[in-house]
Amino acid sequence: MNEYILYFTMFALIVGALSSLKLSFHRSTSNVLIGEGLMAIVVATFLVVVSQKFNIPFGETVALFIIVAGPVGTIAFSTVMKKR
Amino acid sequence: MYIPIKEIVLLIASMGILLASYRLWVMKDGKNMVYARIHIASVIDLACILIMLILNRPLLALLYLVLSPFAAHAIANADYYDRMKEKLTRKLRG
Repeated sequence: MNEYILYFTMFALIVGALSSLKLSFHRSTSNVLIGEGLMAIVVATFLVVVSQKFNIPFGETVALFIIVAGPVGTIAFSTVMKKR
Repeated sequence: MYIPIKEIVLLIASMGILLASYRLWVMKDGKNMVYARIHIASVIDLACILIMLILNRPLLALLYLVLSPFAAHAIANADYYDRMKEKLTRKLRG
């Protein structure tokens, strides 16, 4: 795999993370939830790319945890928000 | 002749993430903007799934492919009922 392509992917993921961070500081709760869910998947993918590039063995495990915890947290908070 | 398919797909996915992030950044608030934001966020989700598949992580990609629609539905549903409740409260107050 060409390393410059991986660097470009990492750059795109960082831009995506910044964009979702901006959404996370929004006023309404729904936008915050969208930003949080997006941030989880972007960070997990970034970990996968970094562990592929630099041969980090535990990167995939941390990414698995983030991928499970992100959407489950979003669903749980949405349920709380609906019942409120 | 060698065609670097993995690199090309990775490049296209990264471009998709960049464009979707730009739109997410510049979009102003308006009516029903939450649904549009969920739509744009799902573009980034699918690009990330594609990147994981290319980098030989099918378990992570499949797991997120299953979980992501549930999360999007939960957000949209909660937003809808939240706004309905707000509207009802405003109506009852007169």
